[in-house]
Amino acid sequence: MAYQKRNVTRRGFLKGVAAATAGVMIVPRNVLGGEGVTPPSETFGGALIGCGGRGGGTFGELSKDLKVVKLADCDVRFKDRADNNKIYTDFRRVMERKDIDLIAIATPPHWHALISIAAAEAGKDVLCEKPMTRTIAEGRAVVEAFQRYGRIFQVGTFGRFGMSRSKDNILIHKIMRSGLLKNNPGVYFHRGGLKVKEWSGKTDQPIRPVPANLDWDLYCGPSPLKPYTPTRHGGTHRWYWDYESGGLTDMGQHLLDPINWLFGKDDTSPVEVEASAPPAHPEVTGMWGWIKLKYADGFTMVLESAEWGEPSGMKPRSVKLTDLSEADQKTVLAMPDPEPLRTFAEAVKTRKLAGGHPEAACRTVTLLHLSNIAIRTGRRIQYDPVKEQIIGDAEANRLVNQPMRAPWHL
Amino acid sequence: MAETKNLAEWVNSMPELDPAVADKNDPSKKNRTDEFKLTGPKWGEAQKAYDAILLGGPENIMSLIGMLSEGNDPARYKPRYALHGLALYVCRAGKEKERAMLVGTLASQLGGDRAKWSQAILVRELEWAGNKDAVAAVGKLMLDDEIGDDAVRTIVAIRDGAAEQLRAALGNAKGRRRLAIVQALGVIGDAGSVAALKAAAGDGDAEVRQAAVWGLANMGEASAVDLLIKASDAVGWERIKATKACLVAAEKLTAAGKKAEAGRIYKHLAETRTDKSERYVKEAAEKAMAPK
Repeated sequence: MAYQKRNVTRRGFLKGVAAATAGVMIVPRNVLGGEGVTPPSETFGGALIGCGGRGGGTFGELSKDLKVVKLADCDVRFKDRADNNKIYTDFRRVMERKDIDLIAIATPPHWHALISIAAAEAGKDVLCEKPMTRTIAEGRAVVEAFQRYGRIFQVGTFGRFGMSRSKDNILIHKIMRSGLLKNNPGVYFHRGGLKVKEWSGKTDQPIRPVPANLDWDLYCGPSPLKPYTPTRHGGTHRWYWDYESGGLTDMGQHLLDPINWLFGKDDTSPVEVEASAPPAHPEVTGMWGWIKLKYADGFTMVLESAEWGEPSGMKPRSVKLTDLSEADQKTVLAMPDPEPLRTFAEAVKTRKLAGGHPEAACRTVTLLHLSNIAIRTGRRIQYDPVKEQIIGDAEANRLVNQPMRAPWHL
Repeated sequence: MAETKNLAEWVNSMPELDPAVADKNDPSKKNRTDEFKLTGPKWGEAQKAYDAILLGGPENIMSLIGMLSEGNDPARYKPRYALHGLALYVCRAGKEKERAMLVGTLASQLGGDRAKWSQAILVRELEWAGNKDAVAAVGKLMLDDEIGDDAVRTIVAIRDGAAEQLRAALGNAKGRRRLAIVQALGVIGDAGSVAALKAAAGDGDAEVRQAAVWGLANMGEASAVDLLIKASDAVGWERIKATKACLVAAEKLTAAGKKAEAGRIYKHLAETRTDKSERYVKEAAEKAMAPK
């Protein structure tokens, strides 16, 4: 038996794509583009890429407070029924359509960045499920793409919207953003709820024939083309480093995205990361006990799984106005409140950043990726949040920007 | 013989997986999620095993390689897990000698008669622990249809010395192998690859063309501006990707102080993306050209 099997030859696939594309009806594009404001009455063409699991919910979030007509569903499991008109297997064909303005992405995470970037390149706005990306470099590439093309991006987690409405939280946010707290004593501490064992992988699952409806090569995409095992897709993709990287990445963006807003860390990352975990398996995710993420100002985030090993020994410590001198307290109290966060719909209409914009989402997901790098290497990580590189550990740094399988690249 | 037995004991000291559910028909166990899952040793415990295995030198590593098995059998996960643990462990500061030994031994097993599945595992471990000393051995596998992708991935991860290997392999690469190598040259971005990428930008295969065009853009290659502009006049997906390549190249050229070359790209995009559906590109180009 050959080590890898492919269902379709690459040339055959491209040939089929070209033939299918020729039959697509191109309707004049609606709006979008420019700094102008979109009329509230506007109707948008929408598409859902990744139609299982969260797909329906994600498209619902995309359509909230917007008039959206769904023009396309795209999923690698539609190989047996794709018509390249309303049903697609290959997202590239969706990107070519000029009548689609908004894209909801609910694929497994190893596709999030590439499809988000492709959508920006094709002039479309995006609501993308969490986690935003599978690597740190992917996050930066998404930020750059949406800046380059002036498109709107919102990550599919919304806890920061509620978090940013409380007066107490706004005060903490202002204390942190003021930069006046030089030796920050704050510790954000969270224990449990990260589905560590639930989304730890089963090793060595049996190899099976690829189902007829599944384009396995396209599913694997930028990740290595591995022999098909049913657990590698359909929810249990979370077990694998190749696609999602466990419960931490699955749940972490929900948990930490509001926290990143609260503590004013939407534009930076920790400088030191340490994890307590057993040596990692090369293919599947595993257990971990705790993770400490320390910022340059001293502020620390601590996650405890409560599922493995000993506790971290850390305790929560809130950030208070009284941590500042009297003069600095006055400065903070005189600061204007932050602008209310824009929903995806508001951002699409005004062409201004959404609350879960690319930079914020990138910084949150970076926390998860740094944590996983510390878990996977078994080493304490020093990180440069400006260059977005691991310092003094070239081998750990290989995980920041992992090579992609051609033709996929950032 | 004693050494081999010792190795087996150390490998076996890796913890058992959580047990499989004994009775699949027992409703009380239906929702269990822990069968065949890895609990893992603490690093302190694992290190004892790693140190002992490494102490046995290349012979132990060879024996461990011999314990790897094809296919997916949860009961036989330990040798693979132990080998990966070694690859992680030797990357720690102070383990340079052990790393050289491990990398050298893994690399020595590539390209020969060893089964492809086994070589694939070794190549993947070299993605973690490999260095320039492994590049030539891994490079030999880049044209292999079964493990070529793994080899290219590892070469790109190592980087040091990769460009020469990739260029050397390109001449004999066809189809998917050629695409992977062209893309890798673009990722590495070595100045010595410009000519090869320019040639590939005219390839008959659209994906090879796109990879080459992107590679030149990624390098901010000033001599490729005309080529990039020409590529951007394609249609469909290729037009979207070539337009991105143009914008990326222009950003890099601007950053390198080559504003005239960047300006040519922006001007072309501003003049050609006049259709409503491409207005966002025109605006992106005009914004980039506007005085700061």
